Amino acid sequence: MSITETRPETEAASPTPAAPSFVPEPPGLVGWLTTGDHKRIGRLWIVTALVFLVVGGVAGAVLSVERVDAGLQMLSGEAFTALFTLHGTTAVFLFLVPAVLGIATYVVPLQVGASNVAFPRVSALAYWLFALGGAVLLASYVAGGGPGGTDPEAVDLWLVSLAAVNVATSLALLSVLATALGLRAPGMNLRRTPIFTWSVVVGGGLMLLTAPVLVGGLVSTYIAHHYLGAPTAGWGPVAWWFGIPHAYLVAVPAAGAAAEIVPVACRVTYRRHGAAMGAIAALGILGFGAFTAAAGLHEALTIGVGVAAVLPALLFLGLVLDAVRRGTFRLAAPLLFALASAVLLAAGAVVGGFAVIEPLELAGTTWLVAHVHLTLLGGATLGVVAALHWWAPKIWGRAIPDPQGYVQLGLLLAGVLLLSLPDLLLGLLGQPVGIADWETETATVPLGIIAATGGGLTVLGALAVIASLVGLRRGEPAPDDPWGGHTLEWSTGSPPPPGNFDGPVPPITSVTPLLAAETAADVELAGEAAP
Amino acid sequence: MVDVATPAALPPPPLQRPGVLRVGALLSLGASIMLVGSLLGNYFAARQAAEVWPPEGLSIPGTAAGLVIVTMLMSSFTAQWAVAALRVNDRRNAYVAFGVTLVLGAAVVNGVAFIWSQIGAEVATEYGAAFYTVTVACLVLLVGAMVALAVIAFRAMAGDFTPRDTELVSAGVTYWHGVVAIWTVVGYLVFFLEGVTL
Repeated sequence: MSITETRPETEAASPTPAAPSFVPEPPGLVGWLTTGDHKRIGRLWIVTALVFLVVGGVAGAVLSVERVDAGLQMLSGEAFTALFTLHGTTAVFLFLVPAVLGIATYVVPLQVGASNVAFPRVSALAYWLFALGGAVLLASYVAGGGPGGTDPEAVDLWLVSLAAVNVATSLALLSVLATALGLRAPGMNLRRTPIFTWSVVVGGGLMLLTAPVLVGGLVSTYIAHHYLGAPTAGWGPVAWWFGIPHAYLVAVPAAGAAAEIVPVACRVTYRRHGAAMGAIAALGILGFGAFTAAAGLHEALTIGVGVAAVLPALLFLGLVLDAVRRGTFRLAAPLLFALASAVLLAAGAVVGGFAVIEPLELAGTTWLVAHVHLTLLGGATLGVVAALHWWAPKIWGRAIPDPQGYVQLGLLLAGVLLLSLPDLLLGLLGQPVGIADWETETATVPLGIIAATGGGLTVLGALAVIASLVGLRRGEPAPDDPWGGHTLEWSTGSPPPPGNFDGPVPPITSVTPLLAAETAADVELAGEAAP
Repeated sequence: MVDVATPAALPPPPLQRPGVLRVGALLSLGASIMLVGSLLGNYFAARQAAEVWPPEGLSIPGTAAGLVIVTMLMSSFTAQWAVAALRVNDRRNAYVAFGVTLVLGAAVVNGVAFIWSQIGAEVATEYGAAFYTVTVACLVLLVGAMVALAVIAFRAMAGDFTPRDTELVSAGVTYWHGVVAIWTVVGYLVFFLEGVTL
């Protein structure tokens, strides 16, 4: 073997770096299977997440029907428990987080002026690991797995597949975060980072530190179940991910999408951009709930964090509403989704604040289910749908018509509210979480019917979103910048060309570079017109 | 005529961001630390719940445990030596440093395997499950770091990297330092805190 002891100097021959060239990817299925392009990977994440959303949504709707009346016995106790955990794991690990990851994988490189995501092969590996892990996770439930599963091997499979999904999530986050931190355009310091990218840095960074904690818990549970003969895996190693305060962390990137949309749609900028960034950062930091994975060590901290999280959520809502008050806008669907997301996130934080106050005795009741639904189904999922509407022209080259958005918003918003409000009342009455047949003297059947209606409407809303995206093939091509955007992704084609930008991105001097460029051009024109 | 640089000829403004490889290494390290922290949390939860910990009759060979930690610490210096050598284009020293680092890593793998063979704890016990989970996870991190460093070393031998372009080497070595730190803490907690036999 020959070893080079002096590196051949080749740089002198090319004093200026060559423009990056992009080899076209193979067409058809091979191209999708071997892709390293962030745009394709992002779309794969989004589409797969939406498929899993249907599974999680249907499971949730069936659960809400089963809970209507103690006499209604559609499901056995074991099946109810399995469906309950299937709904939770699918909704969060297979839909919400992957959907955010898909949007981030697509949008963040464009927002920071990068030609691709950092470590594209890692990003592709993450997607395929996620798709495989998600499919195996669902299969494990069919085989009798899940936390309370009856088949030991299927329970092991559930643990391994959920760990694989979270490893995939971590790898994808690593890629997106490295892009946001290491591939920013010249001049784009963190203060000039678009607020969606900022929310991905905050939420994704902290999630990258909590996902391994979950994986560690799953590994330990697997060892205990497989080698020590623990009868079931238990829901404990996973449940903290949905609880207070970690639910806020999951919602942070979706809140960032809402924060990105509102000022552009209202044709204003935030009066205090730093405050918006600070509110998102505070929500993320307070949502860092890894400590709740260790049972018995966290009660005081959880109470403090649960109450404190109300402040950044309300500050965020205040900033968004201030932008609406000052702005001029039309009622575009993404704006309405973003506003609904911000309001429901704040409502979820307030509900969570009450949940941790011990004298109210709401811990362990359906009040917490309402909190999860308001925060994750309301705040986060509506934020994700807002992002899909907002960036659809960039992602698919077609805009989703507003009327379709209004229908989706009506279904999803009504679904979230009808699903959550009965659980708040039942929580006040003391109904425990995860119980199919709660016997009480109080007439709770009407509340159950309302919640079941909400579950059904939510599923219909999710199907309507998917139908809209499928129908995009027939739409008119969207212009490059249909919204009058402020950030770099709107300066390129819809969808962007290979390499994303036709030329080098100029140095960034503002948090709203396109707005700054437009203002500069206006000033120049005014100067020329002046006598 | 005085040669005056025009604004167009000036170099572009410095990038206000860290290198992407170093960022990737630091993020990976953060995730690795949290993973090991989680496993350690479960280890100590099991320790707190157990009546006797470690099981009676079980002994961790102190010499081997000490050597594992000292060897890991030494490998940090040799790994940094490789970066320093490449920064002054001293490639021969860099190759030696990479080689020594990998040998030290292999020695740690060997040392841990020796400890496993000596303590005689079954996996299907509270102690064994917790002990092996933590040490296997740490060993996986170490082997991953060794593979990464080997790839970097082979790329260096093939002519990659210049004194001004050592970001990948720095990133790999940064991760290596992190793994050394993890091993030092874990080694102290699961070997020495439990009472080694000298």
